[in-house]
Amino acid sequence: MIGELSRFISLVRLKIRFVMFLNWLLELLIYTSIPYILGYFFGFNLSYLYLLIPFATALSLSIFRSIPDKSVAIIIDRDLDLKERVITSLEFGREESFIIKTLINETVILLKNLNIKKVYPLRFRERLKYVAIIPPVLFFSLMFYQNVFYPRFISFREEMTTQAGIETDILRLEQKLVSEKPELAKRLELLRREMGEKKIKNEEGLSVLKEITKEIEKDPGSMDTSTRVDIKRMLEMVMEKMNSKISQNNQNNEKEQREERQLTSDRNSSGEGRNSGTENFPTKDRSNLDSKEGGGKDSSMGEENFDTMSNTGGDKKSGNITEGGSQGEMDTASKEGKEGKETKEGSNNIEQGGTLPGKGERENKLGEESQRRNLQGLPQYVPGIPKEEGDIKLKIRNVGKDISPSIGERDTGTPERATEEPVKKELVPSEYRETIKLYFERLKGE
Amino acid sequence: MELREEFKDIFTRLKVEISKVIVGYDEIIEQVLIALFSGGHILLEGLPGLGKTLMVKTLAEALDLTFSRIQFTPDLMPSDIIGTNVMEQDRTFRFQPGPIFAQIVLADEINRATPKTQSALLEAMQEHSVTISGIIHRLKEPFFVMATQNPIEMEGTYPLPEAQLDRFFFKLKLGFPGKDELIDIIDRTTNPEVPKAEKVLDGETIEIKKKEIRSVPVSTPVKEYAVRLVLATHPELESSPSMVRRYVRYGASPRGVQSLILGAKVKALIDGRYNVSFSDIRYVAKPSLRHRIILNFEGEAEGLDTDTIIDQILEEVPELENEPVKP
Repeated sequence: MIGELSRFISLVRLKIRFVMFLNWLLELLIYTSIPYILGYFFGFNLSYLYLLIPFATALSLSIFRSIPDKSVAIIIDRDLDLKERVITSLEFGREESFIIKTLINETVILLKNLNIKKVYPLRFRERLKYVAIIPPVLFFSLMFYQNVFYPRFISFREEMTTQAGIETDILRLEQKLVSEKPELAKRLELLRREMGEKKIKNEEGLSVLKEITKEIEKDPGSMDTSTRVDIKRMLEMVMEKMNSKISQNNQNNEKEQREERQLTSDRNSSGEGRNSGTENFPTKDRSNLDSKEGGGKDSSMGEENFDTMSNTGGDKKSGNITEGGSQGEMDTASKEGKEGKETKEGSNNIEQGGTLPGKGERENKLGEESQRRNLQGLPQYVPGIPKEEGDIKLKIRNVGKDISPSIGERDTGTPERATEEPVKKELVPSEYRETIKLYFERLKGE
Repeated sequence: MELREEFKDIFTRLKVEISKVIVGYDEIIEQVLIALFSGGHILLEGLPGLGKTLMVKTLAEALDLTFSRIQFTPDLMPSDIIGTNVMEQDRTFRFQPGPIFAQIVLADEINRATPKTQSALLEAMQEHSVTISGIIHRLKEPFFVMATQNPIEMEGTYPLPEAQLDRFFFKLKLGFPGKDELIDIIDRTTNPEVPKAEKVLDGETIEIKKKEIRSVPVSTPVKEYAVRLVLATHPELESSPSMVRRYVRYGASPRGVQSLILGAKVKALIDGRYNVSFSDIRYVAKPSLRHRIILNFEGEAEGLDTDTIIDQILEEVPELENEPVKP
C-alpha cells in the first residue's frame, strides 16, 4: 500500500515540476526580453537562438530541483483537504501497527477516489507580478526617452553604421583586388583609412574610386572577366552610394542655410538676436548632443556643422573657428559684423557678444577634433544587411541636419528645436517679455 | 470492533447520557470528555446557575466511578481534602482518606479556598498520589478533577496560582444558554420526571481507551504547528504576534503543548480519523491555552480576554512554516 502511495506522490511531483518549469520559463523569458528591447532601441541584433537559453535553464531548474516526498505529501493533503492523512501515512509508513496500516489503506482509497488533477493547480510565483512589469516599463521608458529627450540617437547610430558600411565595402573591394592589383588595393586601403580617420571628404573618396575604376578598365591585368565585372559593379555601387550621400548632404546644407538666414533676419527684426544667436539655446540639451557627437573621432555625419563652433574643448581660450566653417553658420556670424572666414578675432567677437549660464560647460564638452572638420552637409548612408557576398544594400537617410552638434545651428524644423527656442515660440508670457528684453539689453551693456 | 468505531460509540453514548440532563453545551460536553480520555483535569468557569456542578455530577453518574464533591470555602484545610492520620483507641494512627480519594472529584468554587488548601490538590492532580506523613498514597485510576469557579463575586476569593492553573488540562467557559435551550431547561427540570443519566462506561474501559488514544500518530508538521502556537504565546520572542508582546506577561508552558497534542488526538478519533490534523490542533487551542496565558497589567487594564489573544495567534501563525514547494 505504501507503494501505491508513493506512486501518487510521484505523479504529483511530476506535475509540480511542470508548473515549476512554466514558472521558470516565463520568468526567464521576461529577463531575456530585456536585451532584445535594448537591442531594438540601440541597434544591435540578438540571435533567436538566444531564446533557447531560458528554455534550457527552466528545464534544468525544474528537473534538477529536489522535491522531497514530505513536501509533496503536504501539498496533496492541503489541496485535497485530506486532513494530513498523506503526510502521516508517509511518516509512519514503516510501522506495523494496526492504526498505521488502516490509515495508509484509507488514504490510498481516498486518493483513488479523488481527482488528483486538483493537486497543485497552475499557479504563478508572486515575484512574477513585479518581474513582468520590467519589460513594458523599460520599453516605454526607452521609447519616451528617445522620442522626447533624445530623438536623434538612433539616427546617429545609423549614420555611424552607414560610414562603417562604406568603409566595409571598400575593404571588400580591396580584398578582391589584393591578389590581382596590389597597387590599387593599397590605394583603396589608404582611402578607407583616411575616410575612417576623417582626413578626406566623401567627394575626395569618390574621385579616388573613379580613378581606380578607370585604372581597372584601362588595365585589366591578370583578372578574368567575371572578377573584373564583379569589382567594377561593386565600385559602381559604392560610388553611387557616396554620390547620393553627397547630394543629400548638399540639399540639407542648403536647407539649413535658408533657415538660418530666415532665423537671423527674424532675430534682427525683433531685436533679440544680439550676436550669432548661439547663446540662446538651452544649455542642457545642447550639451547632451555635444557630448555624444563631438567627442567621437569617427563621427562622420554632422561634422560639417561642428566647424562653426566658436569656443570649444581644449581650444577654449582661443575660441577659434579653426577651419572654414559652413556657410550657414558663417552667415550668422557675419550678420554680427564678422567675416565668413572667421579668425581668432572673429570668434572672440562672438564670445564677447554675451554668454548665458552653462555655455562654457557646453562648449567644453564638444570634441576639439570634430569641430575642426568641415564636411559639406553631405547626405548620410545607412547600410542594409548584405545577404550574400557582394550584395550590399544601402539606404539613404536624411539625418545630417538633425544630428548637427553646432551651437549656432538653426534647425527649426524639428519639434525639439522649437522647444529650445522659447522666445521665438512666444512661450514667454507677454507681461514678462519687456522685463526679459531689458535684462538682455542690460547684459549687452555690460 | 475497530478502535475508532468503538471509541466513537462510547463517546456518543456518554454524550447522549449527559445531554439528557444538561441542555445545550454540546461543545463543552465534548471538550470535557476529551479531557477525560486524555487523562487531564477540567476547570469550568461560568456564572452561577449555569449548570457547572450539575454537569460534573451528571458525568459522574454516566461513568461507573466513585465520585466526591468538595465545597471549597475559606476555612477549608488541606487535610480536609487529602485526609489525615487519626488516632485509634489502641493509640495507633490510622489514615483516614479525604474526598480526593475518589475517581471523579468535583472541586466546587475552588477559588474560595486559600492558596494553601488549593495547593493540596497539586500533587494529586499531577502525580495522581498524595503524601501524608511521608507515606505516598496512590489514587485510584482514572482520577479526574473537575473544578468550578465563578468569574464574579471576586471578594473573599483567592485566584488560583499559575502553577495550579497549569495543572488543568482544559479551562472551559460556560456561556449563557440561548432561548431554545432555556425552554428546554424549563421542560426538563420542572416536570415531575427529572431525567437521570445512566452508567455507560467503567473505569477500566476508560483506562484502555486512554492508552489507545496515545497511539494515534501525529505527523511532524502538525507537531511543529502546535509548538509554534505555544511559542507564539511568549511575549519575549520576536516572532510572537504584536498583541502577545504587548499584553502578555507569561506564555504557555510545555504542558500547554502536551495538552494540545493529546486533546487533538482524541478529537481526531472522535472525527473518525487515525491521524491528527491541523484543524484538531486549532480546535483544542483555546481550552488548552486560555488559562496558561497570563496577561500583564496593560492587558488586564484593557479588559482583554486571553481568547482574543489566542484568536490572534491562530490567525497569525501559519500551519506550515514555509511553503512546501514554491512554483
